[in-house]
Amino acid sequence: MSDLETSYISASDEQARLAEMIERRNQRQLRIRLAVGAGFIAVGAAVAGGIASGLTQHDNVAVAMPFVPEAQAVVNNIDNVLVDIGEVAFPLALTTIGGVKLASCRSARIASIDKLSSQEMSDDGDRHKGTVKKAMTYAFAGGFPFVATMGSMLGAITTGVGDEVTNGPSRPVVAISQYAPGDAWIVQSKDALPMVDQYLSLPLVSRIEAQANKVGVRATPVDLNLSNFDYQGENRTDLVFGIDMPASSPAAWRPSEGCKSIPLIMDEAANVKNGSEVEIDGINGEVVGQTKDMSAINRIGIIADRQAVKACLEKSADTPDDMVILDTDVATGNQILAAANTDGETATVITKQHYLSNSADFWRSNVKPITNFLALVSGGLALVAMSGTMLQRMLRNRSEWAAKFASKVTDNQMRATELTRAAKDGVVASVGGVALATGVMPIFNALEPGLLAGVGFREAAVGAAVGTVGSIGGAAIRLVRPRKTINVVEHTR
Amino acid sequence: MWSSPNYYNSKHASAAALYDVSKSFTGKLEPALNQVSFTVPEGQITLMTGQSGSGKSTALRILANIEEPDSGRAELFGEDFLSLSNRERRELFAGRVGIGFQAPKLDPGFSVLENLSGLAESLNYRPTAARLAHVAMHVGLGDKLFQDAATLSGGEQQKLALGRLLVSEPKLVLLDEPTSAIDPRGKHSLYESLRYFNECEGVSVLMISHDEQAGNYADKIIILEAGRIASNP
Repeated sequence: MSDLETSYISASDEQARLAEMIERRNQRQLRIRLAVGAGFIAVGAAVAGGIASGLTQHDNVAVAMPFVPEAQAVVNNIDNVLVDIGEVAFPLALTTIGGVKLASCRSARIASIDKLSSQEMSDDGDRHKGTVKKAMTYAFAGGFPFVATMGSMLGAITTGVGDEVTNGPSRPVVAISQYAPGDAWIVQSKDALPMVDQYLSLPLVSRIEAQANKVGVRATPVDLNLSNFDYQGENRTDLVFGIDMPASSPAAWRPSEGCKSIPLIMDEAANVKNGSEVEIDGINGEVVGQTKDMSAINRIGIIADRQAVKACLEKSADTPDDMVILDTDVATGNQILAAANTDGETATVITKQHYLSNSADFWRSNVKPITNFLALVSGGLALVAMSGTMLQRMLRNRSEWAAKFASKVTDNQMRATELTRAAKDGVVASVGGVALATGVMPIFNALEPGLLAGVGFREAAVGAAVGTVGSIGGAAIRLVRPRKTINVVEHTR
Repeated sequence: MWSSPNYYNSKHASAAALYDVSKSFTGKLEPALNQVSFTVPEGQITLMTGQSGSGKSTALRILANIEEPDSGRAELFGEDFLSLSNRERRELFAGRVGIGFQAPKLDPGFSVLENLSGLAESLNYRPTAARLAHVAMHVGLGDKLFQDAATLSGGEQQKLALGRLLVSEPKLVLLDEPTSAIDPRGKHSLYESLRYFNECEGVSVLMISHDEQAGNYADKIIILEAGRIASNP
């Protein structure tokens, strides 16, 4: 065999060895793509399924805003729109990424989209990738989209706070059942809510109790009192629920003892221990028990004997009550009221749910627009910031893209690549942002007594909407006319 | 493989050609090209040379469909592509014409192998492992397949830039001063690679170079001077 033949065979062997190595690598990457792609599709389907079941559980979320004009209604509805967007955008982004990975096994063009969207072409500064970075590159876009993640976190937090602001004040109303059970509430008007005083005269309340007693229905008069209390030099706002206490209760007030130290049951959110002395609107009180779920934002729930509330806090034993809660249905409640209201006072029977809705509507109208607007602003900022990020990326990679355009790679190929990258960033931002929001939210709760904001389905959906749509939308803005940034003539010189 | 290689069914005398092409740039008194005509014969290496500013790059970029001439005709595989729509031009060029620049336009964050396959994949051509190994071997990067492109030397990067053009089995390669920034040994190696693909795969080449060595590998040499053809054998 001649030297030339030996050399040729040796070169062929080397080429075959290389080809085998490349093929093995291709097969390995194919398997990873299939597994990761199928994983994304499965997670996307599971998220979509979870959303579908979540929707059936949440389909009674009220969207009606009877108190507010049209413009305010639009703002009030922003969170619901963002929730809807998040419910669709996040699983869609997941399945798109999965779909791209699976399709890349069949299409060279899509394989190119998957690869180029996983790492910046000009990113030559990170040659020693750790395991996490490698995994992030295989599954997502390698890097961590900081701005979109912060946007997603802010979206989730503002929605969580907004939800708490809307629904938090209803918590004590729900919890009052432990002291005053019943679904038929006699109040002055059908628009009754905790923040609006109601007037039921004491004679009417007495007749209602007597009528209820006649038909074997438990009736509990409630006198609400918005006040302030001082404890260890610190002043806080509170909501006192004046309820008749049985004589055996440690919270029962004896008029003979006067207003020197009225017994109080304090919500544990106040962190005031039994035996502590507090002062409510200048009246001394002693904490004799603890309750829970009776506080709302910055309003500590306190239970006191109804007579003590009237005599000590309201300075008159004859002050009217706010409501009488009947442990019966509305129809029976109406019969009791009709029989008792002999003087024709203004009074009506509503359900507990109606009262809760009034409260939620009030807060939704007054505070929700602000938090909704903040959620929208965080989304807008994410959009603008991601658009800027996209522009920077285009500038960094314009030489690489220009060379590809010169080789007749299409604009749409570039758009698809960058939008896939944005979808990957959006998913990471959504998951990261919502996780951060979940971690940060307790800090808000620690800063504000009675605040119980958290991250749930709605908050996660808004976070996902901000993260995903902010990321994809921000990229899309720059991709309308990519040749404005990438000039083939200029950038191939 | 490419789906519609109808452009090659008939044998053309030239892979590419310019006829009476003129081109001026705003702010410059003299035209960059003035009634320039030449052909790039099929299956040959054509070297285009001349002083800086003689219009070499402009001529190549018109053939590469990067610049539009003010007048004249430009042909690729016998087709007057200036009369075609953008879509038709894309179909004519994509994958069949490789365009290389003075600075190697790589994806430096990716490996040599990913760079080799990446451009072809972007054009919807999936190279086989055998093809990738073949090209890698013959541009002298067989032992650096999994290395990041950014870690290669200037000469190796230029070879990789050539390799990624050749993976999709183009019929014509247009190279704008590919050896201007590499050492003599690197130049020699690059010319050898070009010669290999020219002889073994019939790739036509139009290369701009000031390098004297390049002439040894050329079948035809065109010389431009001040936007006109000075020599076109």
